Amino acid sequence: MTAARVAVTGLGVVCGSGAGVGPFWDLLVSGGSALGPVPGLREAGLDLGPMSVVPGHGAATEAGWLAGPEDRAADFALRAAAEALADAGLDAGALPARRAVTLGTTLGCKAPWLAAVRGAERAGRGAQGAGQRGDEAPTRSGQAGGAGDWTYGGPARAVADRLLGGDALLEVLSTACASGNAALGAGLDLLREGACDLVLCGGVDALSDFVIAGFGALKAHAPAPCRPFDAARAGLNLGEGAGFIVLEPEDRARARGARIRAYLDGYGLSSDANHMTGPDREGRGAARAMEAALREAGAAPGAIDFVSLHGTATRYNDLMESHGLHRALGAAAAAVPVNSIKGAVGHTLGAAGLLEAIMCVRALEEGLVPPTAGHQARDPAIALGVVAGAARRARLEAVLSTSSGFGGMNAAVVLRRGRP
Amino acid sequence: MTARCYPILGRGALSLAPGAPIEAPPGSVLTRAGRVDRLCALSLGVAEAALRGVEHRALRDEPGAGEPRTAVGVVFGSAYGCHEDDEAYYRDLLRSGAPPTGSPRLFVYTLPSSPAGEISIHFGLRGPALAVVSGLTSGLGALGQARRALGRGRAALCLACAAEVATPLLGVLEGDQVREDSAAALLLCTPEEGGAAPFGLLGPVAEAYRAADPAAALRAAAAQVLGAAALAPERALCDEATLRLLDGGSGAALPCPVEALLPAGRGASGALGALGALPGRGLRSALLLQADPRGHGAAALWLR
Repeated sequence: MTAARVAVTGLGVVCGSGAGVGPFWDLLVSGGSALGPVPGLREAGLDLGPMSVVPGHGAATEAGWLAGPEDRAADFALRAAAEALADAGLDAGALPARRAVTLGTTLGCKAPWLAAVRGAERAGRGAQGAGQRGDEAPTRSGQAGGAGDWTYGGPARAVADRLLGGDALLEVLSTACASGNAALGAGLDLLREGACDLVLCGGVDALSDFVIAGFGALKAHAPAPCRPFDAARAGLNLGEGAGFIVLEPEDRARARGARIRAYLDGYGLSSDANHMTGPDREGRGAARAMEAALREAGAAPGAIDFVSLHGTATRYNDLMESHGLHRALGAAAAAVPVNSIKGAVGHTLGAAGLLEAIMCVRALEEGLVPPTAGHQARDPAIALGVVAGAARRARLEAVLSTSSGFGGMNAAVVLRRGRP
Repeated sequence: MTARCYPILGRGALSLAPGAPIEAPPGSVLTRAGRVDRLCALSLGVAEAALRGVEHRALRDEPGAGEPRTAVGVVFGSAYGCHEDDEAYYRDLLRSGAPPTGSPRLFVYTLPSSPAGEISIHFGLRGPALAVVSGLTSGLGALGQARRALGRGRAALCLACAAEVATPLLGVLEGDQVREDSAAALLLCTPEEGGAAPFGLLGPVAEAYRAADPAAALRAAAAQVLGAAALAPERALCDEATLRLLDGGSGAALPCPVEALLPAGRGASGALGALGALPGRGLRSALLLQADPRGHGAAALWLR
């Protein structure tokens, strides 16, 4: 039995560029950046360099989004998923009976739990302090809504409840900063297995005092806008948001007249088995994930026309990716155009893989590779064709997108141009 | 379509009173694992047990054969994952104020994927690695992902592991869902390479979500598994909370009796640990059911 190809039929974005795929793509193509100082962080003692935050949530204060009770990850996910469904031309009445949500997150689904910890801490007690503050009052599990959900699944359930009628297959996955690609891979698998007829694949993470301070403890923040693959790169800038992609079997999508925006053809996962916070310096693990994705997609290394790299602008990640891409693509690695969107929207953690996949779909559609915002002078040790300065026209048929994360986890996907 | 049986080559399970010391046998990975957090320590302990004594080509380190163990995957599952570390890190942050001075090492363990990373590192497993954090069904979810990695040819062996750490705050918020510190692991291989393995996982692991109706989700998941396997199991096994959701079994609509034989209070690791213990119960086949009161259900079929 030959399964139908898996088609991308809808896209949705919420990130530092605002809500919508349009503003996101425009920002990327222009070479602009949503990174900047975040009002309120200096007063909170968390002014650790530029970041990219979702507009409309006010200042970063303790009472606001920095440590507020709102589950912003669920809000981001809902908005991006709603856009993706609308983009796919799917309203509630047009949904197939068998549908799924796969969601990747690095750290982003902890808001209710952290609110409970705050409640306990502020009450000056241990566990019994939980629930002492009205807006953070925890309830026991089993109650409807997000307030009683102390697991990581709140945003996925919110999407299923509000957009899919509360009836879906849910998979919430985490592979650190490669989680978005893992969610895409899970969606691809579910459709290939015939387990469902539509998957909303998402990635999400929201900034908070917890996340910002954590990366501060790791000394990962760059003091200025990040410079992926640059000789002067000095670390990452955090971002936040959500990206969602609608996946369907091609035959079903065509039968309902949907636009095939791209195909998701391959997926690969691997582990470095090396170190919790440092990548394999030779990029062997990343290369294995890329090779696996190419293998699944039936794509020869020379057939890849563009590579979206993780490109965090940390010293070791970018160098590792250069080595990894050379291992995976061989002689083709030096010439293939590559970019990173971290200089435009920051490192959005669990959302990164999805946002990058959405960028890839738009690049395939437009025949245009967005530049790497922040990149000025390539590190001589990084022998890659970094697209910088201005967007580059290119005939794109197949693209590779790769992510890596703590714990040595790597995930890659291959997308191809859609056919009318 | 005939369901394929994925042999289980090794297993490990551990349950302790909250905070009780984890005994590390001489030579155990736990004696050289350094300052890993408790969730990772529990996971490493059961992973070691599941891998112990297993002879398989994918585990051999052969000189000159390239990177070893690239065909061995790890899938970790947990409902509450890093909540203990989250709480410790966050309380420290709230108390210390700005600028952040928290422990970078502790922060790394606030990622729910950290046990999969630690297992990969300590046992040199370089295949697919990921974490399933969908709720209380995540143990069976991890089993399903492991089966998927094998079925799609991404791995020749895959370790499915689940763990939970009980904390006082979780006890307040979630009642009896997690009363113990627990972990369980199963080592699965492809159907072609199982040798004389005494039992295995038959058919897919199925999950379903029905908002506010976990019993309906359980029935849907069970129907998928039974339909794919085309086999009526001797017994359906679940924990007491799941049995209550099924209205004492009368609402289960299953082709076999339902019993609450799975240990309660172990979160997502309960079903995985119980599956590993099934050979001792004298059953030739059983359907495992795990529910999450938020509306999730998961099912898997075990075969001797």
